[in-house]
Amino acid sequence: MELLGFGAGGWGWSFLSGLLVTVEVAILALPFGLLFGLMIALGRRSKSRLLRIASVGYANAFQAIPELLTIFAIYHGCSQLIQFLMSELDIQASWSVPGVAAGSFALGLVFAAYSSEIWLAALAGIGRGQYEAAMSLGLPGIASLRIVILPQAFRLALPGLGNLWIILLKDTALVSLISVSELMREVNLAVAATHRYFLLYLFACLGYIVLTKISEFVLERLNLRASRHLVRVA
Amino acid sequence: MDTSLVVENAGRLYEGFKLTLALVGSAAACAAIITVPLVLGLRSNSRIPRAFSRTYVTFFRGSPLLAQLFLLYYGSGQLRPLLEDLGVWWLFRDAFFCSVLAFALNSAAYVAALVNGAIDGLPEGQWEAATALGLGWVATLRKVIMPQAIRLALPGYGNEIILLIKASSITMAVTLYELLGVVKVIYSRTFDITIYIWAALIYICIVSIVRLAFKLLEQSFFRW
Repeated sequence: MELLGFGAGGWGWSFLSGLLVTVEVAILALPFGLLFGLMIALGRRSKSRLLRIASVGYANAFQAIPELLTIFAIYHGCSQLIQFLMSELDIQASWSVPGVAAGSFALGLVFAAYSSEIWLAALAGIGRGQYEAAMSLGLPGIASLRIVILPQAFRLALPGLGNLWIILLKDTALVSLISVSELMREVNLAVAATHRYFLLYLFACLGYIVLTKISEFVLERLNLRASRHLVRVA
Repeated sequence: MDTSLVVENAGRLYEGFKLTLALVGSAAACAAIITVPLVLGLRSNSRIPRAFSRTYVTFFRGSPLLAQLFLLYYGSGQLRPLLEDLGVWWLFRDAFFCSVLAFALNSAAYVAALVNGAIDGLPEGQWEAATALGLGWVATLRKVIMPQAIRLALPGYGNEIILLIKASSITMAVTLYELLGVVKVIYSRTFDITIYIWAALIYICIVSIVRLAFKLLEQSFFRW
């Protein structure tokens, strides 16, 4: 048990910092994934044929490509790009892409593809009258989206987005394969030093389960809050 | 685009592709077997099987597959004396077996939740009608409930297979080089980023074929 503790010879602190990095990667991926996903969803509803094809293509492609492949491609691709730029600009510095940034960007791209499906369904769930009413009030496109449509669509999208968040949390474990010191990698390091495979990997699983359970609890609260106007008082 | 990279490594990529298919196929088959007792447990009237199934589903759905794979592959090494006594150590020593088992255990949790939800989705009247016809429990499930539940669960099951195809790429972490593993090796030899784009195209093709197959399957189920 002292293996998991915070004292000397305990790995508690490294696990805790790993857990924080795990949450950090997921939280960094979230805003980009949500916004880009919304843009893809709007693209799929667009009048322009080209935009529609591009958005559907993006969503289908990133739902089909393994997350790990996206992570590797972004990580190695960005590294090469930066090296190329630095050699072109004659900058003598050894600077590599931080794994956290590449990892959360890659996970954000995947999140966007999946969340576009949910945004699409949510936007379709808003009655036509809402769009017409916004138009007849003379609201320009962006304003009608921001003030009228999105606040309603968000409530419809919330349960699906919550599921994606939980998937995202678990996918952060893949970032350990590009040497980001999140929970999985910290546990791997601890395992390499102590050879307590079973205990430590079980502990890692439980760590993620705690994160997903906390998320489920918070999401349930959020859902209740978002739909509180629908609750009938007896 | 330059195709020489793919042509040169076609043999290796094909080997990786075959391994991916073998992993997914065996894992899906094993998962189907594990799903049956799990669903029965989830729907059981007695507490112990229900609690067990629920814990199982929570555990495997709540933690990353990568962690489960490590737990099974490296963790089994610590239980070696026990596994040797049981005469199954030679199985757990094998990365392929451990990967298939980890994928199957994980996938079964998702499929069990899916099937359970599909059965929940059927109206109460179906059970009552079956009881009124005097059908036994097994006959009710086999003739009335399952044919309808399968139709409800089929699209979700297709997604689960696609997730399994994508998830199979993590076996490189336990020294098993399937399609993405081979691609990673090619990249580390050539530092040519285009190999990732080719890999992405291959995966998109595989997933599209699976999607199409499930769409046809759904149509044949819904043909009436």
